Amino acid sequence: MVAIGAGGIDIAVAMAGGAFHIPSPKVRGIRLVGKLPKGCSAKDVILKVLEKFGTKGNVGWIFEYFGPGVKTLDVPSRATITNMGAELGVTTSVFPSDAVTRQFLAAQGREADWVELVADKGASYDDVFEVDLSKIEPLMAAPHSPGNIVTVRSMKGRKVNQILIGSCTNSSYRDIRTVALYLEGRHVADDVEVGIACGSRQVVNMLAADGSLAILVQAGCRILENACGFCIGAHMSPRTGAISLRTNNRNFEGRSGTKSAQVYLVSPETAAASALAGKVVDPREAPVAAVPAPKAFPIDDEMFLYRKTARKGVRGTEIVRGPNIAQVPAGAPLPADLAGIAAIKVGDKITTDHIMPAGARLKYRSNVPEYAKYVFEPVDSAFHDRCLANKADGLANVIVAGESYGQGSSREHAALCPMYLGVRAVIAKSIERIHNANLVNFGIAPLRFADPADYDRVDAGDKLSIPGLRAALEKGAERVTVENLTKKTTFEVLAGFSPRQIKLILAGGLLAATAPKK
Amino acid sequence: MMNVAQKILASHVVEGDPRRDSEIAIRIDQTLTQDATGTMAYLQFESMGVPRVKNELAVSYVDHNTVQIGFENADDHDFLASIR
Repeated sequence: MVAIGAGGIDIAVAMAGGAFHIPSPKVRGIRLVGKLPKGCSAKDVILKVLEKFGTKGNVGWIFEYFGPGVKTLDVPSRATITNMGAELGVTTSVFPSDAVTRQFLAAQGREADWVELVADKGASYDDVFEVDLSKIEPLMAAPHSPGNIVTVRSMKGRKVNQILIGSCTNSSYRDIRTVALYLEGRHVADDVEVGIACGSRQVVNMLAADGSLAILVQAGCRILENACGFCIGAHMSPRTGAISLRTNNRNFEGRSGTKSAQVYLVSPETAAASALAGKVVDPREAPVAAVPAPKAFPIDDEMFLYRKTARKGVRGTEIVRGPNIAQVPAGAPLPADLAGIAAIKVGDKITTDHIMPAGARLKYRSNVPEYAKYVFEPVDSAFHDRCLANKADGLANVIVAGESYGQGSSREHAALCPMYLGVRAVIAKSIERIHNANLVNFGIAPLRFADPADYDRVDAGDKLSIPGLRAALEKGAERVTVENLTKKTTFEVLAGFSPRQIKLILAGGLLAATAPKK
Repeated sequence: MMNVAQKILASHVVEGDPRRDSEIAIRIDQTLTQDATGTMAYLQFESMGVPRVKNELAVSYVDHNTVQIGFENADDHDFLASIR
C-alpha cells in the first residue's frame, strides 16, 4: 500500500468517492545493502537519506526501498523510515511486501491478509541512490530542520536538558523495549527530564508484561500518554534555551512550544544512551542486543468505535457540535482583476508550523475565524489584523515567499485560514506539494517567480496588481504579468495550472466549486 | 516490468497517464484523519451532502489533542465520535 499526505478537503472528497490528484510521480530507488551495525537503527537510515536529499526539491517523487538490505529491517524499522520520509517532501515512500511483512502480519493474527508485492526483475527507477547500512553511524537532525543533519560524534559531550522518546516515528515495541534495555538497572542523569510516549495501548501492555515499563519508571522516566503529544507542542515544552533530544520527525523552530529551544531529532538508541549521561552519547559505545520481532502481538482492538450512520430502519448517532465547532467558510470566485497588496514577505523553507502554529493554538482547528487570528503568529503576529484591514480596503492579500514555501505538516488550515483572511495569491520561488494542493483547494493561486531574482525587488506593503488574471487563467496561461504599483515595475510569475486546478482557483476553492447549493 | 510504486499506482489510476501527463488522478481505498485536522475534514465532508462515506474504509484516529485544556478538545472528540 502507499500512504499519501493530503489536506482535509482532499480527504473529504476521497470519502465522497472522488479521485485524488497528484503530480505524476517519478520513482527513486533507494538501494539498501549490508546490515545496520549495533547501536544504529532505522532512524539513522532516514536521517542519512535526508542528509543526501534534504527537505526540498523532492516534490513529485516516490522513494522506493529495495535491495538485499531490505530483509534485514523489521516492519517497525521500515515504518520509521517511511514515516519520516514525509519530511523529504516526497509524495510517499514504500517498501516491498516480503517474508518479513508476512511474519509481522502473522504475529498480528492477519497472515491471510498478506500479499507479496516486490519489484519485477528488471524493473527500473528514474534514479537510484545506494545506502550501505553497514556504514551507517548515529545521526541527528539539528535545529531547526529535519534535513539539517549532523553526526552524533560531532555533538558528543554536549549537555542535554530534555530527552523525549516516542511519536509516530519511533514509539513501537521495538523502539521502547530497546530504550528499556539501555536503561535497565540504571537511572537517568540527575539534571535531565526524560519522557516516554508509547505508540499505543498494545505497546504499553507488552512493555508491562515483559518488565520494561518497571525499568523505565525506576530509571526516572516520565510516562506520557500514547499520543502525538510533545511533537506537536501539546505538552512538555522545554525550558528557555534548552537542548532537547527527541525521537520524533519535526524540529521546526517554536514547534515544541518554546521558541528558544534547540530540538535535535535522534534515534531511540541515541536518546537512551544520552539520557543516562545527561549529555550527547554515541549509542555504539555500549550497545544493547537487537529486539527480536515478536512471534505474536497481544491484540487489543477495544478502542475501535464502529459505524453507526443512519441507514434504513436504523437510527444513526446524533451529531454533537460544541460551541467551538464553527461553520466551514466558503470561498468567493476570483475577481476579473487582482488588486492586491503584499501582506507579508517571508524567506525560504517557511513551514506550515510558521504559517499555522500548533501547540497551544491546536484546539482552535474546528473554528476558522478564531484560528485565523494566529496565522503567521511565530513570524509576524500583526498579520491577521493587517489582512482584515486590507480586505476592508478592498485589497486582496498576497503572500510573498522564498524557496520551499509550505514545508512540513499537511494542515490545510495553513491555506484555509489565509483564505478566510482574504489571501488570494502566493508568489514564491517554489512551493511544496501538499501545501500547493491545499492552496488550490481554497482558491489561492500558487504563483511562482519566473525569475527568482524578482523576489528581492518586492517588499511587504507593495501594491501588486494582476489585471485580467481571471481571463488569463481561463485561457490556461503559463505566465502572467504582475504590476508592482508601488515600485512602478513589472515581473512575470509562472501559472501553468491543470484544467482542474484552474477551475478550483476561479471558483474560490473546492467546496465553492462542488458543494450543493443550500 | 514495474517497480512496487508503479504496480500500486497502475491499479488505482483513474485519469491521466503517468508517462505523459503532469498530473494523474488515483482512486483512494482508505482514508485516515487525526483529531486536530480531522474535524475540518469531516465538517467539509458533511457540507458536500453525501450521506455516507463511499470509500472502503474511513478511520478517524484521536491522538493529538489529548491534553484537553479547556472544553474545545473534548467537544471535538465528541463530534468525531458522533459522525461515525
